[in-house]
Amino acid sequence: MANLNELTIKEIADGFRAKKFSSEDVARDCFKRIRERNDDVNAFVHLTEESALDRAREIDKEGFSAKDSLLKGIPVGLKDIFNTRGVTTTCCSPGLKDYVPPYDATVVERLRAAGMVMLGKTNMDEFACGASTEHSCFGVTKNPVDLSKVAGGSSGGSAAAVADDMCIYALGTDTGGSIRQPASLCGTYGLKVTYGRVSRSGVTAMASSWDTVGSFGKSVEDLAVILGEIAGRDRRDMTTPDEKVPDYTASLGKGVKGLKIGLPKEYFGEGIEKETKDVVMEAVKKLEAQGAEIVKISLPMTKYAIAVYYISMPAEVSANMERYDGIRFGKKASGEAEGLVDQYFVTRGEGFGDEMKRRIMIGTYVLSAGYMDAYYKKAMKVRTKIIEDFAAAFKKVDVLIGPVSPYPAFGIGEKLNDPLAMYMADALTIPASAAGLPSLACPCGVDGSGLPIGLQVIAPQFQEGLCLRVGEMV
Amino acid sequence: MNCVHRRDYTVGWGDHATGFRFGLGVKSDSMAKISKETVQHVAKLARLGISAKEAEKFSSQLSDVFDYMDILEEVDTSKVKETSQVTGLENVKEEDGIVPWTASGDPVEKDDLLGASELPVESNQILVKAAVKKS
Repeated sequence: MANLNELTIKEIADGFRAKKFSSEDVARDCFKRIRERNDDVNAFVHLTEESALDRAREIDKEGFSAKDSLLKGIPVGLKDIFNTRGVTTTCCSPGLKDYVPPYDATVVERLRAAGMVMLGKTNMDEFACGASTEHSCFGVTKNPVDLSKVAGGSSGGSAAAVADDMCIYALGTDTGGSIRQPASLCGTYGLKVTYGRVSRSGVTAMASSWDTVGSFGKSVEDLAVILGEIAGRDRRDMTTPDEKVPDYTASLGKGVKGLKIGLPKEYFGEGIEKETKDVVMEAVKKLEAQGAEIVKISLPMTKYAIAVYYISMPAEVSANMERYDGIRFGKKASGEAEGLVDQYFVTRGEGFGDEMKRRIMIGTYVLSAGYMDAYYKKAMKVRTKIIEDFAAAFKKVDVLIGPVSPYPAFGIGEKLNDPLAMYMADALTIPASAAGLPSLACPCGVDGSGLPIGLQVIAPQFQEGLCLRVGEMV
Repeated sequence: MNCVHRRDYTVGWGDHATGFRFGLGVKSDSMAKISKETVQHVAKLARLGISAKEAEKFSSQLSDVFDYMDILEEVDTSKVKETSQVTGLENVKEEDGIVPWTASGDPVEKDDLLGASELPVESNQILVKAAVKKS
């Protein structure tokens, strides 16, 4: 069988159990594809080929039993933000370039126990701060559909790797859109979970009240399988509640008949490209034809979400970045320093890229005396109003649908010198993040030049099953 | 020696000190340009080494960003409580005891942790530059 790297988790799991091919076969096809494409696309920044093939062979020897996870023996790419014991984890930052964590992130532990075959670590914007994977110390990840365009970010490497069949699925993180947006720009599925659904222990923190761990996959069913393995309470992450993990695959095959789907008018308004709106509306009409009731909704706080996020998130980022001083971990600075305090300046000056510096400074400023009320506390209050917007909407509908990105993949370098323009890319993904809601990005068409367009299905907290149920029918 | 309370200071930042207060009906003509001096001051608080040229570049970029933030003035939040987190959880507790960090029970060794540092390690301590100059 050829090109096993193009199959889904479900197809491969069936193939293993029917003894059609081995885990090593699949891994080899993935590495073949990586060799063909990674120099151009730059999805993977670190490959672990030897250990991957060893593990695949080990799994093949064990065989596949009924009680084994469907993920057993399946090749995966992990965003370089997840601690992988003994394997470099750099967050694509100059300051963490050679860091080797001494322990696995919780989700990595869980995937290992399930029998994952880790192909390597994928590219990202430095410390997850970006929407284009252009802010990586390893260079940009190019969109596999059009190499002159960005793959999106910050989980651009994971999105591109799955979209380009370099791996079968991948993990990423979504703080303000960093799974949904690159998924949409690359034409693959990406799931942002409810805040607290998946443990963040061992995952480098960016903005701690916004960060979530999620996945990229080639089908909704695959995402359901992955979620079942990684979700659930973890004593090492106190923000994971004791919420039961249902069988997410049981949500599938139910169709959308009788479901109420809300269309927030602000997600189809000014600033969203016409083609994007049209493609998403076509998909919505299909759902209506299948029996869903389409309801017009308003989320009036949508226009304030970017301001809320770009005050609140940098504040949290500035706090989380304080630990990077090159002492307990991270690169020793090459510049000269006189004394400890000076050392901090030199190390941090060298270790952080421009976007990180901007965000750290924004955060420091908004938390400073004299400005904290006006900015940070104000943003926290408007965040409450965004949450109330969604609560009101969910009284009327089951899920909300809208585009993920105001436009398809933009040109590499196009927004690099205009940080504010780059921030606007997150306009439609930030609100769900503010409220800690799950949202599934589904490819639903392409624009005139073939660039992918995606929609998102937003559900109330812990209703990932609803996202998956509707997403399956898109 | 510099005080290490990063954000607890009362120094006015030149023309931003008198600044703007939400909710008092006082509007300055913009949330103010973030001047080069402000950038340098904030970078100092955050222990970020930046050059004079960078300070100028960031001043322009951050001014754009903060001009945009004015949009929040439109929202009436007089009766709104702040949201710090969206889990609804309170006072999450754990048994006070020693348990392995990893799910497998494999220990994370002290040497693994200290080994992550690129600086010299002596008697379980990481050696750093002097904080205080010897006089």
